[in-house]
Amino acid sequence: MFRNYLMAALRNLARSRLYAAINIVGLAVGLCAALLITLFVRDEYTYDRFFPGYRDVYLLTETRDNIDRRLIDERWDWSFPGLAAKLSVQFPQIATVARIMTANNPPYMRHGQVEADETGFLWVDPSFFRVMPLKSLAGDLQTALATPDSVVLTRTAARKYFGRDKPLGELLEVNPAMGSDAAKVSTAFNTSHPMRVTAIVEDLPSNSYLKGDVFGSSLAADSQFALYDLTPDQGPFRMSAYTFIRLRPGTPVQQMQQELSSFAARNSDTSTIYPPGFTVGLRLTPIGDLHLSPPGESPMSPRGDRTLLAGLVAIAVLIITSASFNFVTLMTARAAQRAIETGVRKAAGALRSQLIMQFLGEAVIYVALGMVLAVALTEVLLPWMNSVLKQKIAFNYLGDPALLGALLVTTVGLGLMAGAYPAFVLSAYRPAAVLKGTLVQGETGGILRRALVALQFAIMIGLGITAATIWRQTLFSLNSQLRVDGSSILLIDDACTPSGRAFRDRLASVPGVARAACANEAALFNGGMIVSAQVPGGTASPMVSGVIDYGGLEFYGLRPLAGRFFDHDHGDDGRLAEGETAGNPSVVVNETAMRKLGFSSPSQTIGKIVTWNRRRWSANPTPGTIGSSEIIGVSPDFVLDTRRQVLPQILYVDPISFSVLSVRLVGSQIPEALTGIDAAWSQVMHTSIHRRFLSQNLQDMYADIILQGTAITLGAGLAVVIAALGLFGLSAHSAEQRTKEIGIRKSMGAGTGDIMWLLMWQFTKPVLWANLIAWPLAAWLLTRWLETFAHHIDLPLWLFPATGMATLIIALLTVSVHSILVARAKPAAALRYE
Amino acid sequence: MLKLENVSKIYRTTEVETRALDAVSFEVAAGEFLAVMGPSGCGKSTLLNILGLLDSPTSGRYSFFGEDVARASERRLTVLRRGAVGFVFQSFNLIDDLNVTENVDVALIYRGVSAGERKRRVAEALDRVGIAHRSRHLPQQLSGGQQQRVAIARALVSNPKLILADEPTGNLDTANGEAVMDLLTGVSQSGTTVIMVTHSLVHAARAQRTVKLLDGHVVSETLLAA
Repeated sequence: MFRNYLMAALRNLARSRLYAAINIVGLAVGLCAALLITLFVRDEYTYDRFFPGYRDVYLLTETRDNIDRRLIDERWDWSFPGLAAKLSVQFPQIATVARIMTANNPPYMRHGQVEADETGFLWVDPSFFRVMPLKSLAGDLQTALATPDSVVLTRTAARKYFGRDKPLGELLEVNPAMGSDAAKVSTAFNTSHPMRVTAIVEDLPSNSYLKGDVFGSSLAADSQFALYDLTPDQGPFRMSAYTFIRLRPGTPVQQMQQELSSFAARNSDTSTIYPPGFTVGLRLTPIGDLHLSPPGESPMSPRGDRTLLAGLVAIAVLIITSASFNFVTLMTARAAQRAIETGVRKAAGALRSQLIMQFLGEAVIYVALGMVLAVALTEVLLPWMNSVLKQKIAFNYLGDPALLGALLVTTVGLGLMAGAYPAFVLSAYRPAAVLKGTLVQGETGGILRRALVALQFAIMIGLGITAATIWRQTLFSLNSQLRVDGSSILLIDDACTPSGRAFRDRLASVPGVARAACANEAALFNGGMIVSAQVPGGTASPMVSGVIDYGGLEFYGLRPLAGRFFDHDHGDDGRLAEGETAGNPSVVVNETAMRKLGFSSPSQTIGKIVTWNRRRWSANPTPGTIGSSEIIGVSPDFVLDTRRQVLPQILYVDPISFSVLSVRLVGSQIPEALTGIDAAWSQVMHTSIHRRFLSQNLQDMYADIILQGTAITLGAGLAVVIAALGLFGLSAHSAEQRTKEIGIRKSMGAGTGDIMWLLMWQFTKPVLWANLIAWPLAAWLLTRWLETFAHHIDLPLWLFPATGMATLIIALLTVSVHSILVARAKPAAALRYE
Repeated sequence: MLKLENVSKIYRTTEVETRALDAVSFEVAAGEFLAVMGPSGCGKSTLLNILGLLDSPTSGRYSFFGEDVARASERRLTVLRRGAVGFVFQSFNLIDDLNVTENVDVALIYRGVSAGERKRRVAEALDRVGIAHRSRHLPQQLSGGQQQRVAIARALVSNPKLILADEPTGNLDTANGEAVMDLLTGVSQSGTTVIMVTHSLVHAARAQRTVKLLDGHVVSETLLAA
């Protein structure tokens, strides 16, 4: 019996090749997109779950919550390096603690001819591999980092420096290259030492929060930890550690979290450091959930985004839905062709249930063929996706029972869903009617078919509008929001330290460099240290304080709304220029801060005195210097990150806190300027330069939105392909069905144009309906999405009719292929056809 | 063995009520070869559908081998049909996607016959209608006469008690028509009841009895051969 069904199915497939191809290709394209999305989403959800016992491992994060939430929630992935020791004494629940410190500058490493600035270098505690067990290829990881000169390499690093997998016991030359300030503490931080390879581990998978290839022992006399221990007041060194904790199995985490919070409350006196309303806390984030947890400052690798993942899953579902609609519409449209079969089988005694089974089975065959094609396509496209996403996602379905099972379940499930309605229709024919030979011609499910086509086009229109809006907002975030051209502004790290003065002097003579200004990075992004500020008679309110050099605000295209910006000629502006003094320098506030302080107009604010606690960054927070400052100017509100609310910001000049140098290049001389800057840096600074364009910085910041936009654009493209395929099939079928009608109409005098109109109008209606479905939904969703940005474009209303029109054009072009052929045929041919 | 009593069939649409059969009564004995004649639209096909359990009468009684089936459920009709009735159609109604063997096989697969037995019986039936040499062909590769022979093989293969033929020669030339009639006569002689709708007086003459229909009524019965 099944052989008979299978034969009928396969021969039907072979006979109606066009329709079969449309169905299978549509399904394959949809399934392939869904597969790629599934693989990516699964990768995102399984971050760091490869570590044995990952459920007991947590990252200790530090939170500085603001109770009134109007300012900012500071969350740090970092914590104080000193915490680890204190916590292991206090908490018996902790089995092991391990800290990781990343180097500000990549250490220089050499073995024989191979040398490199090793960006994958991590300083880790000897207990590291007990908290995060990696697979050892050689050496004992329990003891590998116990000696001060020990280093553990991944397979990749071993091959890079030694050209082989297991260079156990070999020596590597390591220069921490921590810069001239560290060299003043000890020359060890800036000279080469031999380190011995004590173990080799398997590479970290790409879906790990940890990014590293070389693990140096924290016990080394030249490690980042050693520098931290030697400089308890921290001075210019901004050092914090990633603290990972392995709890004893079965520890109640809720309770541990509570104890940790009270420990934090006991040990930090927040009242003197932060404005009223702030609490400082310690939090445990399970590493298995870390990647999709709320983002923290200074992460080792960027977080994933649940919204993005949800959006991607929605696209996958929409695309597959659209592809299975093709199956339903084409199968029911062509039901008449199968009616005789139904009639004969019923006359021969087939029950309806048996026919339903037969047609469901056929649907599963179609989906299975689509799936095979989709799997092949996925294998071809995955390497490309991996290189775009910089991931190493595997598609090893044969060795992955869960994935294979999911593929099979999807095939059968989708087959049953897509086949349900056609099976119901095809099995319903009454044999008496069918076998008489006067069959009702294909009008079965006509309304449903039009509804499905309308839905397909609604999906396509909705995705199109969404993609266009996301791109417009992204471009707005990247360009329009900037008052300057981000692609000609270069950001250089560590160029504003006192030792960088020589470099900055050289810069002036580099051709192609227009001007330069120092700041701390937070100031540029409307952030900074949280302080408490008030004017006489007002209330204290929390603000962020940013530091910026003379001319820094003008550099970014800002003009004072009232008063002036910083100026060398005013002594109070430069109070901190020669180093720390008592009292505070004069300040510029932004508009939001102006209102927070209780002023209603910029001019009213100028010359007023504000009392605030000026704080410098240090690992151990201090109350800062409380003093009064004159407000010399009001700057417009300005954020580079459009997702952020504008924070009240207080700006002042403090050279010691500068971290980044902004350099404006002359557009036509960028290559020469870059060469000149790099040469100047290596001559003066003797380390490697860390520079990036502001536009790149912003692109990194919006990477998730750019990815989302790309995915939705691709999704919309696929939706177009699938919907067009389906419409092509339907129009072919319709032309076939109406051949006799067309023949009669033509013999009555209808022209080619009349017939074209007749056929095309039939498909115009569902597309017009699609707009009615898509527009309100897209408008509602996009309005909500845009509201997540503090600064956003207005929903571009013209996009709606434009997308609708584009869709209609695509639909009509698709349909016109058959319409023209049929409309131009000789009427005699059409009539003879019957 | 088949007995119709006052069987009527009314088709209703919103505006028109068509009385396709009006109080038709007659009996068919086991093994009888009966011809049904009448002009187009007289109700022949409706009668055949009811006799073959493809349709149910609006009123009246129909005893099918002793079982009253006028009000039987769709499922019961399917089960009865599966065991007892074979069909031959004017337009052959072969499944385009199946070859000759597979088309004949369709009549057996719903009767739970084992694969080996099916193979034997299909071969036998094809041999009986003289089309065994074309068993791998698809319907569109055959002539009309050959297609109808396949259709008859399909009707015969399940050894039904009743064969219903709706103008089996209507689409065939004289020679092929004669061949088909020879086959049906042979079937009848081997004890199977055959009811055939036809327009051809010549072919009707091959039957033992002729029933004439006009506008849904039986107007005459003729016993042709004893």
